[in-house]
Amino acid sequence: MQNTSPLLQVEQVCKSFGTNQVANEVSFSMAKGEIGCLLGPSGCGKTTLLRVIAGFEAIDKGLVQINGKVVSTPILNVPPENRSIGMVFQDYALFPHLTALQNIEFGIRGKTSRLRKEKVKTMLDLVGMAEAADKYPHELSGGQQQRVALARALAPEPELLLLDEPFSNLDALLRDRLTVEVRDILKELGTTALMVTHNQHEAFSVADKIGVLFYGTMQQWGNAYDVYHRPASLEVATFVGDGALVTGVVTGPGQVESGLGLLKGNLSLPCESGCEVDLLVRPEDVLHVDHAQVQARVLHKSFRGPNILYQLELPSGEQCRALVSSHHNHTIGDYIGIFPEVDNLVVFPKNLTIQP
Amino acid sequence: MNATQNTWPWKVLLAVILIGMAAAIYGSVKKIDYEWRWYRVPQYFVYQGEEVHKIPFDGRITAVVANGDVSTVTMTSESDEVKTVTVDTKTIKVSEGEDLFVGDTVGFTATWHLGPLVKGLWTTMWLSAISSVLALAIGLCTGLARISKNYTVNMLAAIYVEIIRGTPLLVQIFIAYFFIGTVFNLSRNVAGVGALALFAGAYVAEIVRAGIQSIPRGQMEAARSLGMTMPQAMMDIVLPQAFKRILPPLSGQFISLIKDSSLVSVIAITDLTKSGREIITSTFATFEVWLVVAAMYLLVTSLLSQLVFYMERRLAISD
Repeated sequence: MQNTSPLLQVEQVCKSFGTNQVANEVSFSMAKGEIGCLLGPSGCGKTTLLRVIAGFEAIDKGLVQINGKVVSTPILNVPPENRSIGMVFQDYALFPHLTALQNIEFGIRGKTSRLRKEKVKTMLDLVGMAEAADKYPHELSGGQQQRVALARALAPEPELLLLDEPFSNLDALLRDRLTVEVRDILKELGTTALMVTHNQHEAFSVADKIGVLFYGTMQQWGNAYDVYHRPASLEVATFVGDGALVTGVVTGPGQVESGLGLLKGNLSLPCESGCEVDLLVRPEDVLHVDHAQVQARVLHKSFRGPNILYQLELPSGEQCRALVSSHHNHTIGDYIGIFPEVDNLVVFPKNLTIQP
Repeated sequence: MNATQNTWPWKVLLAVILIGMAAAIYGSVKKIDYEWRWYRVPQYFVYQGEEVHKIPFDGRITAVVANGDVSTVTMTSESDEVKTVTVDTKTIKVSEGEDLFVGDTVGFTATWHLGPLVKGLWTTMWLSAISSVLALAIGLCTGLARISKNYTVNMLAAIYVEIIRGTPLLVQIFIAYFFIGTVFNLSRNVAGVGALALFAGAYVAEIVRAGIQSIPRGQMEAARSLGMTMPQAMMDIVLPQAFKRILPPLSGQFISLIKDSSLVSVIAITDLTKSGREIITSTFATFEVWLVVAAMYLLVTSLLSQLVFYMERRLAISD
C-alpha cells in the first residue's frame, strides 16, 4: 500500500468497440511526478486507453481516477475539459488559424492578461521557441510544432499530461533529441505524464514506468529494467528488445542446460529439475570468446558501426544472435566461439505459443 | 517560362472560336429578319418623367421670375391666397397677369425615375440577400444538427434536407405561397423569401456538415483537453476553420440562390425576370430584353464571386 494516493489510477477498465475488445481488465497506477508509458504493437489498445483517460471514450467496466477524483465509470464520464488534463496529439493538432503564441495562450484564456503573457513567455522559453512566437503552425517544422504542442498542453498546468505517439512523425535524429528534452522539461515541471508509443527506445528514454499492452491486456507494468530483464510474459519478452528463444532443460536450482551450454543464474519461474523450458537469450548476453566450448556458425551478419549483430546457428541447430564488437569481423559460414553470460534466466514453459 | 510562351496560339484559337460563334449567331438572326430595337431598352433603366403643376384655385398669375432653367411662378387667388411653384422655364404655359381657373396647367418639372429593370434588379437583390442570410442561419443549425449524436435532432435535420432536396424549387414556391401562404395568411414576399431560404438552407446544411467533418477530430479534442466545452470549441476552433473551407461551395450556393430567385416571378413578385416579361409585353423587344436581363444577372453573380475570391485570399493568410 502506498502512503500517498496515486495521481492516476486505472482499475480493471474494459472497453470494446462492437465485438472488438480493446481494453480488457486493465489496471495500473501512477504516482505524482512519474512518467509512464504504454508500449505495445499497433492495435493493442494503448491509444484507446489514453483516450479513455482523457475522457474521449466511455468505458464499459472499471474505474479511472485522477488525483483522487473519479472521472470514468460505466455510468459516469467527466468531460475532458473538466479533468485537468493536457494532451499532446500524434499530429499535434495545433490550431492552424492561430499563431504559436496564441496556441499556447489558448488554454489559459481565463487568466489576466499579465499572467497570460508571463506564462506564455515562460512556456516559449522552456521549449526553446521564443523566436517563433508569431509564426503560424504551417510555418513551423515538425519538431517546432511538437514543441509548441507540448507548451500548449503544459501551459494550463494540468495535473496529468497525456501524450499520444508524440514523436512518431519526427525523423530518427530529432526524435532521439526531443525525447530527452521532453523528459527533462516534464521532470523540471514535476508533471505527471502518460505517453503512448510503439517504439521501445522512446519508452526507455522517457518513462519511469512502462506498461506493455497486448490485445488490450496489460502484460506488465514496471520500470524499464524489469520490463527488459524480467519480462512477465512471452509476449513482453519477444516484443521488448531483441531476443531469441532457445530450448533448455532445468537441471537444478538456477541451472539450465541448453544449446548454449550450462547457464547459471536466477530463474524467472520456479521450475523443478527436468522441466523443459524456453530460454530468452538477448544478443548482448552472448559473448564472443575465440576458444569457447560452444562453436556457432555465422548465418548472417549486420554491421552496426561499433558492433556487429551476428545471426548464429548453434550446434543444436537452434538460432540465436550475438552482439559483438566490430573488431571481430567474421565472414558468413565461419565458426565462432560463444559464451553466454546471463544473470537472469528468463524462462517460459516449453511450447507456449503467443495467443493471436 | 515555356508555358507562358506557348499560350498565345491557344489564345488566338479561343478568339477565333468565340468570334466564329458570334458570327454564327449573327448570321442566324439575320436569316429570321428580326428587327433589333436596342434604343427601346435604356428607358427601362431610367427615364425622365414630367410632373405637372396646376393652379389649385381660381386666380391670377401675379409674378413669373425666370432664374435660368427654372422659373418661380406666383399665383394669387380671389381671396388673396398666395402660392408659388417652381417649374422648368421652357415648359411655362402662363404669363404674368393671366387669369386662370382651378386645375389649369402652369408648367412642368422634369424628374428622373428608376425604370422597371433597375427596380426589378433591386427586388432580386434584396430578395436574395435576405434569403441568403436566412439560409445561412438555417443551414448552420441544420448542419450542426446533422452531426449531432442526438437521434431525434439528427433525424429531423435529415428529413428536412431530404424533402427539400428531393422536390423541385418551383413546386416548393407554389406550396409556400398557395398552401402555406393561404393557411397562415402570408404575403407573397414572405412566402417567396421563405421558400428560397428553406431551399438554399438544405444545401447549405450539407455544405456546413461536410465542412465541419473535414476538420480533423484532433482539433475538437485538443480544444476540449485545453478546457473548452464542446459548444465553445465548435465556435472558436472548428467553425472558423470550417468556414474557410466551405466558403467556395457556399458562394456557389448563394450564386445559385440569386439565379433561382427568378422563379419567384411565378407568384407575381416583380423581380428582374418578371420586370423583363412585363417590358416585353409592352415593347415586343424579346431578344434585347432577355439578353439584357441575363447580362444583369451575370453582373450581380460575377460581383459576388469576385467578392468571395477576395475574401478567400484574405482568409488564406494563415494557411
